[in-house]
Amino acid sequence: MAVGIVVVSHSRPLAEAALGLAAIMLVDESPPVAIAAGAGDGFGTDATAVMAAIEEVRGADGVAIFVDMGSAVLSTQVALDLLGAGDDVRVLAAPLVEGLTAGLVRAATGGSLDEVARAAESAMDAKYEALGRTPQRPTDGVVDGPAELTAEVRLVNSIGLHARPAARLASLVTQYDAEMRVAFGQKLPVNAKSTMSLMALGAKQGDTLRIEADGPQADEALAAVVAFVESGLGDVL
Amino acid sequence: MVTTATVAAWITRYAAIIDENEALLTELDSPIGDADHGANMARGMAAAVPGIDAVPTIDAQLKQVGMAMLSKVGGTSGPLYGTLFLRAAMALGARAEVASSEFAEALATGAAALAERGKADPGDKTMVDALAPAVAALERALSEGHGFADAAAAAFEAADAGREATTPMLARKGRASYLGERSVGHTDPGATSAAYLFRALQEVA
Repeated sequence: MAVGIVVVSHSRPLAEAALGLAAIMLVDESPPVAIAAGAGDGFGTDATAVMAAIEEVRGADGVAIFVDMGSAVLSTQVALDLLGAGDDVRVLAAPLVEGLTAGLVRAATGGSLDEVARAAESAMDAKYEALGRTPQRPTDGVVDGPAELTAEVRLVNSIGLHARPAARLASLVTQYDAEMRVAFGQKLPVNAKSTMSLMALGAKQGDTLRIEADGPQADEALAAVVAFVESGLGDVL
Repeated sequence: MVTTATVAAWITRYAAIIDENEALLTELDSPIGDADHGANMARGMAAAVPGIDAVPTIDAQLKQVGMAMLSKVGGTSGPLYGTLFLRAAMALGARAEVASSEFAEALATGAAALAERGKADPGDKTMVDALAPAVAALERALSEGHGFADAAAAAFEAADAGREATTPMLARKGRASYLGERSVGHTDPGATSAAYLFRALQEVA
């Protein structure tokens, strides 16, 4: 099995062509793919078709969903609600053509859902690079491949990952010889040493953070970070 | 008291109003959208009505409408109205009649879920500008002891004022927001179809 791929588009020909273009890159067997595109005979999206497409490709490794715009996003969100889908089904903030190509290849080469998401959501970087421009999104600290150690922890302090708590967390991380990243929801993992990146996650009280750690002191660093987040990030609870 | 007969009449009347105003909705959607709101809503409501008067519970009726909107509309209004009806259905449970206040509360829950789904606030020039004041007026009138017919009339009045208020607004959501200043001076088609919901309710209440 591999991560299942769903393409949600206003246009069936567009979805088919994007998938066909991406599939040229495949050397390995294709992961399961499904299309939910068009409404009736015309442009549009259909939440029930999105549900069916997800069910069609959903296996143990999860599903990555690629969307074009507008109602494609909304119909997909409704479909996830109706399915009661968990973390194993994700809508990716990826450009349709580039993202689908990167994600499909990553899924075909045995990538996890996290890896597929990361490959797809950073797929615009190559275009920025080719044009000699800087991506408009912080990508610092993001590394390829699974982290050595990961943990999940819930934010308990009332203001969440706001300026001061984020600064305290970043400062704690710098005390260890470890590379750490923090992810939340569907956002890309960010460098845990960067206060601004941590704040940009927008994580609030009750949200669950995913912490990743690599390096000689990954173990100690992860334990310290988890304990610090659980204790309220230095805020009075 | 709101019964399955009330809901069937409401939905049937709403479909008829949409049908009568399909051209107008599309015309409103032409300068600030993709000129498909009338056709989309007509297609969705045409699928929502068949058999609605034979569905035994209110929540199943609203679910039928919600699923029709999700699967037949095609545009953004599909998942948005779909969310409104499905969440309202979930709030009611399987009953053939409910107190007016419970029905109003379910509509308010649905409208709030729609606003959350679309990430729209009042003033963004969307259907929320008609829906939010309408459900608030409906609940307020009922809590002040007015009958359902009077409350529905108050809700329509609020919805229609909300619809009209979208004309000078600058669009901040959806495709109309790409137009920036050019969206000013056009009444929002979504707010218009949302106001029709309460026009239909007023007519059958």
